[in-house]
Amino acid sequence: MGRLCVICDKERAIIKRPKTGQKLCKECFYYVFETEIHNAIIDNKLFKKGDRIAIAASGGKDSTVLAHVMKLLNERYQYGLELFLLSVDEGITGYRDDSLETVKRNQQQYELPLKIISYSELYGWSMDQIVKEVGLKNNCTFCGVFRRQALDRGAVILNVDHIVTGHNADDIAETVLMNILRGDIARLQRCTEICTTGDGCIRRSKPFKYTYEKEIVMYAYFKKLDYFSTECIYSPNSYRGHARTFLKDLESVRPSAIIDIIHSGEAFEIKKEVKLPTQGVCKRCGYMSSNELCKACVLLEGLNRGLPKLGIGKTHRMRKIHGDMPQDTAIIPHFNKIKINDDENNNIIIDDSNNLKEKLAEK
Amino acid sequence: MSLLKIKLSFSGGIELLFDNIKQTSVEIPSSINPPNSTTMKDLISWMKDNLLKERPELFMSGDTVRPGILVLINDSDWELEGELEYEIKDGDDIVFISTLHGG
Amino acid sequence: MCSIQEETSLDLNVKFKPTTKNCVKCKTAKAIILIRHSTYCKKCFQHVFVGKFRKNVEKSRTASSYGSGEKIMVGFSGGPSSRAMLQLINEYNEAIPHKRVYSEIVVCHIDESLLLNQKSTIPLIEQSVRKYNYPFIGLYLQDIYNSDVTKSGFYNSVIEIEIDAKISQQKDPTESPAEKLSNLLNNISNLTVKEDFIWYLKLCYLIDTARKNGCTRLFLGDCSTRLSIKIISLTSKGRGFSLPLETSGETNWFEDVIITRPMKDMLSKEIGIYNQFAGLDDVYVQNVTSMMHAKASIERLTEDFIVGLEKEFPSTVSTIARTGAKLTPSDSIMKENRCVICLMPYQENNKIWQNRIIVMTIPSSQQSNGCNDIQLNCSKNTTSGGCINGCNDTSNDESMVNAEFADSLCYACRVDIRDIKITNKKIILPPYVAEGVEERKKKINRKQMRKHIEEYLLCSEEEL
Repeated sequence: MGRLCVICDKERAIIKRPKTGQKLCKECFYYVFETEIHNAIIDNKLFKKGDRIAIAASGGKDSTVLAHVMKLLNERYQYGLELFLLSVDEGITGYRDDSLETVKRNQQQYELPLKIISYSELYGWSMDQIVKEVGLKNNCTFCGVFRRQALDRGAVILNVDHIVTGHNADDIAETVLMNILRGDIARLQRCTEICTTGDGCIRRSKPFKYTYEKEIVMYAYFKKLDYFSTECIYSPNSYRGHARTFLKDLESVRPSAIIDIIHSGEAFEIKKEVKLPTQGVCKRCGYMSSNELCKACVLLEGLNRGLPKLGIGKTHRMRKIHGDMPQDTAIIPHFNKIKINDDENNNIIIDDSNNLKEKLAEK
Repeated sequence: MSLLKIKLSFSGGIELLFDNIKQTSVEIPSSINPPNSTTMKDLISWMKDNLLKERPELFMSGDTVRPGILVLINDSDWELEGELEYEIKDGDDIVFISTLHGG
Repeated sequence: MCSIQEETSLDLNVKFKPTTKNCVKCKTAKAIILIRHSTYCKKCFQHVFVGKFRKNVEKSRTASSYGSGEKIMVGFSGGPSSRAMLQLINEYNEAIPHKRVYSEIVVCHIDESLLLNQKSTIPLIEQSVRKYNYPFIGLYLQDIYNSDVTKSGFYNSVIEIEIDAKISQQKDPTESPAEKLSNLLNNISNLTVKEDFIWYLKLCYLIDTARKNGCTRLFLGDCSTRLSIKIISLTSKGRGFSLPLETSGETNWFEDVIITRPMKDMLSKEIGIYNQFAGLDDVYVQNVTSMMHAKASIERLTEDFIVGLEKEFPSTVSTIARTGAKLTPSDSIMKENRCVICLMPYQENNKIWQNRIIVMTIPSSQQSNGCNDIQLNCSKNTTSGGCINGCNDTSNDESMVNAEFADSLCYACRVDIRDIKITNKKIILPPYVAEGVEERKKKINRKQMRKHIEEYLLCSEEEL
């Protein structure tokens, strides 16, 4: 007979909880795991009854467990939310095409409507094509900037109030460290917010803010959730890799370090005299931006003009050197011109990129 | 084979790895890896084999010294002298200073 | 989901091989030192180095209400940074002998040799500072257990934590200070916690000594390399709230003793080279993680990480230090909310925060490990004064002391206490900790009394 669960004192303990080191049985682990996420949602008043929520679904472990837990908590605590799955197809062969299959299976299991929005549809470039152009050095910049906009645009199409993403505690702690290391004070302040709202943009939140990556894997493993577990083939740059290794080492020295870093990050306050960029709107596509043009538009312009370095590093200087964009270059459609997909009868929205293209072309 | 006579100094705690000796004079072959002349890289690995008393990982990282250990060659920062490629000359005065707390 | 939002290119910061062999400042002399991306000759390097120190002390002087004639204390560990600092302070103060900036300079060293069973560092240190002819105070860390190292100057009651995690307040037991400190630190096997305790005990002792010697300012030798390591390690230990106080160039958090860090803009590399050129011999003092592997403690791991990163990207330290300098103590910091162990500010409700995001019980089960568990976990609705584990029995004295103690700690010290596994008898915390708990209790009592009679009062607290 093994030892008993320290919480219920009845069942046999089968796991050592990564966050606390407690030895728990399966059911008690489920309980604390789900309750902490529920607490984060309730304490931060993330949703209202009747909200339409898009779950950003990549097919990976975080978003698969997120979809599962969101559906479960919505039913258990009667949040009264209408849930959707929203996926971005970056166009990475051997990675995203496979993981999207997982998302489609999730769609059927959870009976949630799914919308897939692709880079090539939105920007005219897939990540595979971008990597061919820019190489493996700055590709993550493109992908990160493009994904953020793609999700927001998908959300407008779905007419949802809110996007939830699967960012977990490890991701957030790593971002806190990264922002200190590269001196990005504006992001340092924002990155621990559980919910962010830009001007006119859709609310975005992270219900897994306090959830350990290891526990997400554990949960998926015991619940036998179906997810896609291959790392992106275009791996992140070395600097972030250092921060990630350091975080893993910290966690092994003291498991609570991840939560402790988030606790620190939440407490940071910035001196009043430090200038932070003011948020405006991109004059080309209408997306929120602290500059005249948003990063996505600058990056896209660079790609289209064969100057892929345009948006990397000092944008201002580069634009000065290369001058304004010629009139005939392809751009991202303006935000205000996105058509809302309000076809209520057709609840299951499957990849209809051609359909969308036409809608965007209608203007 | 000819020998080079050089002076080595240790401070900031790194001396603990070298039998607590703060200063020593040593003679090393002018070409540890023939036919090339002896470089800092050769010297560091020679020190590891001949002088280091314990814990090589606290002195070295790969084939160079651990980050956080300063090296001065004749009162000049070794980063300006070519670091590992610097060719040792007879009479050189080489100082190793640890700036690390944890050893 | 991929968590990368946007990466700025770090191309510019990668280490480069210098091409010019001349000093960037005078342009004529041969460069002999590389600092980040700039090359300097010996003379210009020393000039720039001393200039950084002067800029910082002058800034703090103009902001000071004491003007000239301030009595200061130099916290002197004997390490390279404090060694250079003492020399610089001396040169600065003696530059114009009849117009000294500081009327008196006291050098204070705290001996930690008990921790490693080594011989005392005091004689060596005293010898190395003798040439300055400053009053020297050599203290032993264990003497923080003396009843006079307290605010009141005499407090002989202590907090004890026993093997079963029973916390109580006791009359000062008869063991010697050395026995008490050894026992405390021997019971802390976790080196992260041990380093935290040693550092904060030292800081408290230094502040207390400065105060009792009439010094209005304490100089600490943290250099920018050390501060950037601290910024990351404090963040990692959940000390973000007090981080600006613990890493800034100057803070008046201790009210009558201002802490100044005049070395905050120098890299440890600069200090090492300055000392070498100036022939300043530092005293190597081992600490509890010296010669250990990188994962021995958070502090040690962070040092390894930052120093390694700095080698590859030479702007790492300065970027972190700049980021840290942009942080400010929160408006919500209250002087009376001082953690009784580290004396740093704590956030109201940090215990509730912790219990919401780390759920350790289920509603239907009464926890089997009892009320006095030192794992300070409690149910969601705990109000201050309640039992730590959420059972609402406040009638017994033990759980009262337990709760009062837990409520007087900052988040990070609570994490530290949780990581202590008492294996040998009990641990005794120094009298200043017990004094802090009692002071806090009195304040809360007064607040409650006031609440009770509020409607009959015609004036505010301050007017009384």
